[in-house]
Amino acid sequence: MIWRHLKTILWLRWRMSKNQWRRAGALNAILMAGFVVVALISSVFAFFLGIAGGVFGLAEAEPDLLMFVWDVIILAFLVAWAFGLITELQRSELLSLDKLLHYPLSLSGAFTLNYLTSLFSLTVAVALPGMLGLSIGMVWNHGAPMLLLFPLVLSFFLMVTGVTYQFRGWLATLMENKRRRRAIMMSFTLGVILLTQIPNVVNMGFMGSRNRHRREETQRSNERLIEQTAELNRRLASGDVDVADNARLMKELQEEAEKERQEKRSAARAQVYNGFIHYVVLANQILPMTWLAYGTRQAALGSLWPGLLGLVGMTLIGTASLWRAHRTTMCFYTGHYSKRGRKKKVKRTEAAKPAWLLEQHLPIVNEHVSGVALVAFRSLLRAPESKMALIMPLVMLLIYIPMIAFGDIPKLPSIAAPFIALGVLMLTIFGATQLVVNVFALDRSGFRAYVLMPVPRKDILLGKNLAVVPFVGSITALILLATHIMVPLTFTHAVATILQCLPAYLLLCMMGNLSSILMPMAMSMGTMKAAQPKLVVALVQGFVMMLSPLSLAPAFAAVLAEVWLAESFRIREVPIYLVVTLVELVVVAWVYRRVIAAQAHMLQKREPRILEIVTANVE
Amino acid sequence: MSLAVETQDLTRFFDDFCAVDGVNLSVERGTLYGFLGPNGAGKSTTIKMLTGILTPTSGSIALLGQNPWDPSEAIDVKKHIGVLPEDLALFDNLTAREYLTFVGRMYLLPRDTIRERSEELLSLLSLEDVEKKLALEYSHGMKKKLALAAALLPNPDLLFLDEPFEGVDAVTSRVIRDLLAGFVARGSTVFVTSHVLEIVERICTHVGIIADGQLVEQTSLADLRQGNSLEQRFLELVGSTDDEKPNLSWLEGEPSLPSPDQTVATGDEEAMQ
Repeated sequence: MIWRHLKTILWLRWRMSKNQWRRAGALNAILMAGFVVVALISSVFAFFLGIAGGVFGLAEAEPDLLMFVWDVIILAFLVAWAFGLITELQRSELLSLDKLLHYPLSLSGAFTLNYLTSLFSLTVAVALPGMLGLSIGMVWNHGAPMLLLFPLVLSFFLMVTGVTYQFRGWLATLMENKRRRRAIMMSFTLGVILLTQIPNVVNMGFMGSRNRHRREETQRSNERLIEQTAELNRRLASGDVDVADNARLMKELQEEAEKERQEKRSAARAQVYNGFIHYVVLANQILPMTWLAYGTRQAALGSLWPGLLGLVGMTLIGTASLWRAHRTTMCFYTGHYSKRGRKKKVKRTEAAKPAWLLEQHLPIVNEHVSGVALVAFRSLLRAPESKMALIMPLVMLLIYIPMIAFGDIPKLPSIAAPFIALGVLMLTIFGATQLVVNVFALDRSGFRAYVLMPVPRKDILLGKNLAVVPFVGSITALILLATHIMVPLTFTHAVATILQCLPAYLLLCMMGNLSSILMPMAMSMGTMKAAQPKLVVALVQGFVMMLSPLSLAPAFAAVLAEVWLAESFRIREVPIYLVVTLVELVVVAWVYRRVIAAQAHMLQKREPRILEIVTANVE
Repeated sequence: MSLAVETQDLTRFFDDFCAVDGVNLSVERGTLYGFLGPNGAGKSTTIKMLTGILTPTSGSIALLGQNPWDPSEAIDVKKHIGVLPEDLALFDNLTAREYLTFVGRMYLLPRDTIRERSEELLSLLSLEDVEKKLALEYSHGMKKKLALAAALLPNPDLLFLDEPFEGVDAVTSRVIRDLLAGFVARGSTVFVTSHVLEIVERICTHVGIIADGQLVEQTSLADLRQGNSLEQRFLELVGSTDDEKPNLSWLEGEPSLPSPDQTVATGDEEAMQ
C-alpha cells in the first residue's frame, strides 16, 4: 500500500512542478524540461565520472588529497542541497502532512511517505551516483579498506536528509508566518552572499599580509646586500682586495643572498601548508558532515576505526533526527504533548498607540505628499526585499573595506579621491535604481488604494520619490564617510560630492517615474523578482538601470576638467567640480519641477493599465 | 429624486469578450442598491468601471452628478465616495491603524478625527486585538473588514461594496448590516454586490440584476419580488430552472458503507488505533 502511495505522491510532485513551470510561460517550460533531461544525464554521467576520477585521477593520490576531494564534493552537495531546501520552502504548494491526512493513511505512514518523497530531488539524483562511483574508483585503486566508503556515503545521506527533514518541519512552521518567511529568505540570501565572500576576504587578507611580509624581507635582504657590497667596495678602494677577488666575492655574496631568499620562501611555504593541513584535518575530525572525508583519509592510511566511528556517529545523528521529527509530528497531530512540551500562551493586552510615524507632517511639502512619502517609507522599511536591495552597497562595503585595509593595495594619490567618491556614489545610485524604476509594483495590491484616493497624481509621484531618500541618503552618507577615511577628500570636493547626490537622485527619479508609468512589471510576493516578465519590459527596465550611473556624468566631467586644469596649467584655485555641481543642481531641480507635472498627467491616464499589470499576476 | 449613480450604455470588452454590454444603471440617492448576478455576469467589472479602477470601452458614468473618468472631475468625485473593491486595496506592510491613518490623511481629515474614527471602526469590526499585525498576516475575512473600515473612514456620500459579506463571520455580518442601514437612513447611498440573496433581501431597497453582461432587471425590491422570494425571481431572470437538476448515476442508490466487521486497510493499522 505504501509503495502505491509513494508512486502517487511522486507523480503528484512531478505534476505540481510541471504545472508551475508551464504557468511561467512556454519558454520557461522548455528550459526547465531541458534542465531535467540534463540533470538525468548528469546523474549517469556523474556515476561514471566518479569511477573514472577514482580510478585514473586519484590513482596515486596522497591520503590528504583524497580527503580534500571528498571535502569539496561534500561542500558542493551541501550548498546545492541548502538552495533546493529554501526553494522548496518558498513554493506556495508545499506538500505537507496536512494535505495527506484526510486520505486513508495512518500518521506514521504519511510521515514515512513524506520523508521518502523528500529524498527524490535533483541534487541527490546527481550527487549519490557520483559519490558511489567515486567510492568504486577508490576501492579499485586503494583496495579493500575503501569498501568502508559505501556505508559511509549512505550514512552521510541518512544524516543530511534526516537532519534536514527535522529542520524542514521546524522551518516550515516558522515560515507559515508570511512576515517571518520573508525575513528568513532575506537572511538566508544575505548569509550565503557573505559566506561566499569569506574565502575571498581571507585570501585577500592572507595574500596581503604574505606580500607585505615578503616585501619587508626582500627589503631587509637588499639593505644587507647593499651594506656588504659597500664594505667590499671600501676594501677594494683601500687595496685590501684586488679587482678579481672583489668580483668573485661580489658574485658569492649575491648567490648567497639569493639562496637565503629561496630557503626562506620554501620554509614559509611549508609552514603555511602544514598549518593549513593541520586546521583542515581538525575541522574534518570535528564536523560531522566531513566524517566521510576524514574516514577516507584514515582508511587510506590503514586505520579503519575513525571511519567506523564516523559511520556509527552519522547513522545515530540521522536516526535520532528522524525519530525526533516523527515524535514531534505525532505530538502535533495527536495533541499528546508532554507536560513541559507546550506552554500556554498568555494573551497580553496593551493599550493601542496611534500610528506615530504616519501622523507626522514633513516640512515644505503638502499633506498628501507627506502621507504618501511616509506610508511608502514605512512599507519599504518593513519589506525585506527592499531592505535587501538597499543593503547590498553596505554588504559590498563590508567586503571591500577589509580587502583594502588588510590587503596589499598601494597608497592612492589624492587626485584619485573625488573619482573614488563619485564611483561609490554611483554604486549607491545603482543600488537604489531597483526601488525607483518599478515603484508601483512594490505596492502590489496597495496601488489600488492610490487609484481610489482623491489625491493629485503629482503628489503621489513626489511622495514616492521622497520615500526612498532616507535610505539612499543614509547609505550614501555612510559609504562616503568610509571612503573619506580611506582616501581623504579636500573640503570643496567633499561639499561638491555631497551636493552631487541631489541632482543625481532627481535625475534618477525622473527616469524611474517614467519607467514605472510606462513599463510597470508585476513582482512576486516578498522578492524583487519579476512575476512572468515580458521581455521588452524587462529589457527597458534593465536599460534604465544601466543608464542610471549616467546621472553622474556631468560630475565626472567637472572633476576631469579640474584635474586637467591643475595638471596642465597649474590652475588649482578654481573649484570647477563644486561650481558645476551647483549649476547642475539648479538646472535639474527646475527640470524636475516641470517634468513631474507632465508625468502626473501621464500617470492619471495610465493608472488602470498599471493597476492591471502590477496586481494581475501576483494575486 | 436625484441620482447617485447613472450610466449610459456602459460597455467593456476584454479582447473579443464582452464582459459588460450597454448597461444603463440608475441608482437614486438614499437607497441601498443590491447589484446581483451569477458568477462571471459582469458585476465586478461594472463596479470597477464605476470606481475608476477599470477604463470602460464605451459609455458614460455619472457619480453624484460628476464624471469619474474626466481628469478635471475625478479627484473631486473620489472625495465623496468610499470603495471596498473585490481584490481589496491594502498595503501588505502596514498595520490596520497605520493603513487607516494613511487613508484619513489622503482625505485630508484632521488628526484627531482620524484617531477617533479608527478607534471606533477597529473596535466595531473586532480588529482591535490584531491591529499590530501587518495586513499580510491577516486572514481574508480580516482583510475584508479592514478594507471596509477604510471605505467608511472618510464618511462618504456614496459607498461601493463588492461582496462585503464574503468571508466575514456572522457577528460582523450583522454589524455591517446595521451599519449600512444607518448609513442609508441618513441619506447616503450604498451600491453593494453580493451572492448571499438572503442578506440582499433583508437590507436592500432596490435591486439590479445582471446576466451575461446585460442588465436584465432594475427596480425596487418589492416590485421585483411580487409576492415571491428573491431567490425564485433571481433564478427566473438569470435563466436557471428547476429542470436542470444534477444527475450523477453513481450518487443514486444505497451508499456503499463498510459493514461493522470490515476494516479499511491503510498499511499501518497499529498507528490508526
